[in-house]
Amino acid sequence: MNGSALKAWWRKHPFISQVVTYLAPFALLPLVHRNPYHLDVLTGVGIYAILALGLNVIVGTAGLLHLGYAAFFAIGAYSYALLNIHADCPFWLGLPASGVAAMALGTLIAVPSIRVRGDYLAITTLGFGEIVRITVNNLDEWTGGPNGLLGIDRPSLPMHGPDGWTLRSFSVDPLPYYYLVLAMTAAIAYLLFRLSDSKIGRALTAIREDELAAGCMGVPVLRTKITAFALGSFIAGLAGAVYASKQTIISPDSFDFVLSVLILAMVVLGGMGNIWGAALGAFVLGVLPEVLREFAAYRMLLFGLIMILMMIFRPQGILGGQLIRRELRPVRREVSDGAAEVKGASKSYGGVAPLKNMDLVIHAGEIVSLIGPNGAGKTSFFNCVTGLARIDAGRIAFDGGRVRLDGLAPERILRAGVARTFQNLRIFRNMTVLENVAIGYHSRTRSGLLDAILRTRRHRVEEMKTLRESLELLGWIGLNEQANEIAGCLSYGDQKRLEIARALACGPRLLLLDEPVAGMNPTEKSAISAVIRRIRDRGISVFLIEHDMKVVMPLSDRVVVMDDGRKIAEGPPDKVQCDPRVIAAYLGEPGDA
Amino acid sequence: MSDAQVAAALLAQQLINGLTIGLVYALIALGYTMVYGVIQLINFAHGEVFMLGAYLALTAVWLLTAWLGAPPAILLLCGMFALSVVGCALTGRLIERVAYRPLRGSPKLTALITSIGVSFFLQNAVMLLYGSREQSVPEVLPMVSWEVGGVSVSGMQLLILAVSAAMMVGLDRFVRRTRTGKAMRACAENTEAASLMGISPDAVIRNTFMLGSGLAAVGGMLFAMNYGSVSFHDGYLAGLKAFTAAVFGGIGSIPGAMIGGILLGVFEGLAAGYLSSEWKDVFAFGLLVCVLIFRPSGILGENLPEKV
Amino acid sequence: MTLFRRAVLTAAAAVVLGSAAQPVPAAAEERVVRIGLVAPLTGDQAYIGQGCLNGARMAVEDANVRGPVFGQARLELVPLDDQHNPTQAVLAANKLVADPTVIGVVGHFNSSCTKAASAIYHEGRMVQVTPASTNPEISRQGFDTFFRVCATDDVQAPAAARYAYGRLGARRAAIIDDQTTYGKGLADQFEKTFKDLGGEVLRRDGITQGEKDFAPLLTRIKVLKPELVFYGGVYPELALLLKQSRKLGLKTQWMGGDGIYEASLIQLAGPDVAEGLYATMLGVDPKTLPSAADFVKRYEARHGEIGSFSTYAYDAANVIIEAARRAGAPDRQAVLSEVRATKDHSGILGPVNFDENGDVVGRSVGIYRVADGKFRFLEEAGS
Repeated sequence: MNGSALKAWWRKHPFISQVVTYLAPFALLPLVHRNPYHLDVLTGVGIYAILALGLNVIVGTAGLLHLGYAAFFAIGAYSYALLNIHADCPFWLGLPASGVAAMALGTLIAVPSIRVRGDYLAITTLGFGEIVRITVNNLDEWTGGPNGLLGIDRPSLPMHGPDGWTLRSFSVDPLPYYYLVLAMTAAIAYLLFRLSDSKIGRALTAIREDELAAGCMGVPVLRTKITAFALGSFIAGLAGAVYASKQTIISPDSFDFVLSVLILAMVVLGGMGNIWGAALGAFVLGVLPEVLREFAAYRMLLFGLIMILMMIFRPQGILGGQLIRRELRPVRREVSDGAAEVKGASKSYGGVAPLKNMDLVIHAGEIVSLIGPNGAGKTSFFNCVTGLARIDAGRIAFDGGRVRLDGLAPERILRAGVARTFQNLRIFRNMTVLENVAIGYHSRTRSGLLDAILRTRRHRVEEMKTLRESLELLGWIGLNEQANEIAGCLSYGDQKRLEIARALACGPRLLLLDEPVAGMNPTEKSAISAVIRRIRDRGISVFLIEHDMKVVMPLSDRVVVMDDGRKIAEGPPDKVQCDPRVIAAYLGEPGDA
Repeated sequence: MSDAQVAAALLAQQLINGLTIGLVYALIALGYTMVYGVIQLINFAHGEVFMLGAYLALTAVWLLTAWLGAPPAILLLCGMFALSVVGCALTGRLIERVAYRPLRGSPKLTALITSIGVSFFLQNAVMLLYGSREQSVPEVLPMVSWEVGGVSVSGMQLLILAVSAAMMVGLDRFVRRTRTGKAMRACAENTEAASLMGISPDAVIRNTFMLGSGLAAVGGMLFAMNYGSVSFHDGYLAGLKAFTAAVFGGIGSIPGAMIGGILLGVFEGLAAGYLSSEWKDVFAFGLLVCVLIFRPSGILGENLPEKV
Repeated sequence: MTLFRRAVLTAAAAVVLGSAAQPVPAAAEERVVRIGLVAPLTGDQAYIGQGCLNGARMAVEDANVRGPVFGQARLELVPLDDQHNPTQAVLAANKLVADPTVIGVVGHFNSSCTKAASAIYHEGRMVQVTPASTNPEISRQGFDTFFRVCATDDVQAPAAARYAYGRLGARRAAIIDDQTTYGKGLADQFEKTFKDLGGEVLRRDGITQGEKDFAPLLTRIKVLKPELVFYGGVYPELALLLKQSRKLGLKTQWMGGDGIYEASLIQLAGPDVAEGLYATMLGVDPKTLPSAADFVKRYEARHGEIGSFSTYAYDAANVIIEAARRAGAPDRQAVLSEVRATKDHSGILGPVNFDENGDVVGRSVGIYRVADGKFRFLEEAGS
């Protein structure tokens, strides 16, 4: 390869170039500086870095606060130790086994816990972490109790010497460990970069941004969170195996709550969600105690102070919480359309009754508007149809009565073909416009975590399709100029448009719009009305809630009026406008302000 | 005594022991629950405030003994109460002002991490000030105990019962009858609406912290007197258990914190006594985890769904 | 990536490379030879670690006063803090092994740390003499670099059991340990010997360090009516156990190992509560030994109250120093061989001889009892 081809390749693979650039100095260091103590410290930092990278997936990327990470580190260490002591398992086999063991525990803990709310989840993981530590300390026959386990083998590599190939084991010399840990850090960082720039990475970011909206757009929220948890635990297990093989003796007091907080501090210090941030945080907090040995007594004091100051003055961390983005250029293609049909049903609620025996039918290719005074129950109706709330009686059916929607989770309803926007605008503000729309394709593609990390053919093909079609959709709705902008920077009108595009990306046959033109000026309103018509022209039924009669009346095929949870009128716009009950409840006389 | 009588006495003893520690947990739990009710923050540093209360009570005893030689018990008690309550209330207020107020609008996770930082800082500051060794607390009250039918009850336990009950009744009155208390409740219900009614959320939050810290200080004082020694790492475990109690009873609910504390103390004591002392903390943490997963609203709490 | 971030990451890389500017410590500076001392110097056991540090330092100073150990070389002590954390212990061990001027180490203090570090010293062929770690397993690992100047738990605890059974006449005992390497090891040994002698162990339970409330456990024990309760662990929890058992009306004989042999125990529990408590301690009270009198006087003049293990640290350091003198050269292997060949080294606690495992021979265990607010030496434990 000549120089310019190499340069082009380098630019085309930002992850590889970054990993190499930032870790090369560490790789070259031992050539100029051989102090074994310093290498030892840096090896320790490397193990911290691996841990921080793993926790970063859980805390930074998925946004799940985890205060019990040390437990998975412990499981990894003990797994390798036990396998080695009882079954003579060599290190290179024990390494992945430890990862799997930690991952298994992580999944086991995650499955019940993941539903728990943010700050409560933190305490739950803290509780689990302590339970694991105390259990390990108490189960003497298996774990050696407080004594721990000793006599753990170090890794060994085949070396060519005067007697041919022999197996030489690592020794107390830190240099081989140094390179082992460096290689692992590089590999894990690279794989995590690939994850961040993939379908699953996008889904994780969306969950972190707005879990509810992500779920309504088809992202299987719980399953994705558990995946992130499992991956983070796997990485901790790997770190544990390396640690055990280096110490050759492990005991429970190395894996306490303070360690969990320390790793968390590394992730936070560097910038949550930022892969290099995690590594930097590990470096700073790993080297600092060595540099400040004279102040060891004040160590925890300074540590607490750093955490407080970081959160107050720079909560996004030193490097900030952004990930590498790919820039994309628009490509032309056709989007397919489909047909939809909804048969309404009766429903009611107990207690406070936002819905009292509502009946509704939406035919294919219709635009139906739902109007009524505030508190009539319109948004509650939407919520029931889209699975955010459950009805107590009645049924909601879709697709000619073939699919029952009531009782299903939002993700399932979305896959059945019903998408929505929100009254209070729930776009993913920190993701780009293109990424927001691409989320809509999550449930329509099939690649998973392994596909994302290993970049299988399936993933690459699906990603190309997703991004192409997203761009096409943006073009259709008039936002493709802003495809790479951060969604939060768009004008209000454009954001509303984006939300519609995102919902369309889910491939629905019925689209529910909750006050799509609220807060807009007349020009914008007519533009959105035009978009809604075009949506209908593609064969998608539209069901919308609106207050502006100047928009509703010309646009709708049918208008349904709700008051106090009941349907009080229904019919073509002109008929409804003149209905005396509707006028009394909501509209007022034509000509009233 | 017959076997059944022995068993019954044993059970009664365990219950009394559990009740005693449970009341201390309850006093600490009140602080957690009140702060959470008003600003939805898990104040990780609260356990350290409790520990500080214990140390301040000890300091009061040292000071009074140094100045007055052999002061009467009642004077010592008043001095301990005053110094620990005032000191902790001020500390709580300071923490809120310096560490939590700047983060008022931030995500919960940020504030939680800060509170962990504050707890580390406080714990270490106390360790550096008072030394890392356990400190013994001189006897303030004579150590008396009565044995009734194989069950022994100490004077200290009765004192804890009396003081805790007084504190809780006082708190209940305060929250229900006084203006400040009602303002606190209003803020806990709906901060925005309360501020529209002219209640200053800043003042209410400040008062909540001071009140919660004061209660924790009393708990610390009783704790120090009961066990006769204090150590800088007392706060961590007691804090976690008190938090468990607060969630168990229903976070945001004051009666919930009281009930949760007592129940946790009893449950823990029974587990330790009848099953195994080694696994005592596992039971407490296990309860915490189960409550958070299966019934986060606790016994008396309400489920507050997110508004779409 | 923004310029700021690039700058930060480059700066971090520069720091790493910048450390390359530091000169590698050359093969032994002619003038200084070092001995390491590793103990918990900060944290909640700092007072004990500092005691060891003071003792070792005095040994080094005394040696320098007597005359240079090797030619022109001055002897220096390198104190390192392991915070009674095994990870830190290994790090400290690596640091010492990497420094070519270090010829031996006095350390560590806690059994868990000593054990963890022993593998490192063994691989680095550096002699390690611990002043205080009593867990017997450490010397059973087959490390020829490990030596110990104190008695082990498998001497101490059985002595306690024999005393309890034989002299105190206890037949029914309960045992509590604090779930540490040291405490559990001690309790295990006591249990084994007591049972071998024919005693009955009514209940064996564990507590956690830092715990305060032992009422449930003690209530349980009270019902069983043991004649003796043996505690394996350090003193803070025992003080609480004693006080709470008094409040609960649990009347029994209490006994513990060297971990509770501290004046602070009596202070924490209160003299009348602690009255009658038995403890085993490694060796006899140094204040009663004529060979230690001078050291004790000098120590107290300089540092105040003497630490429980200061004398051991002094002896441990001197074993290394004397071996170094005999070796004549600051070579680790030579010093190691000389330590192994130590014969009747006159330590202030008595003559030092090592057996094939590196354990000191003939170290006695003393039985002590709290009377009138102090630990009083009763007798040397018989076999």
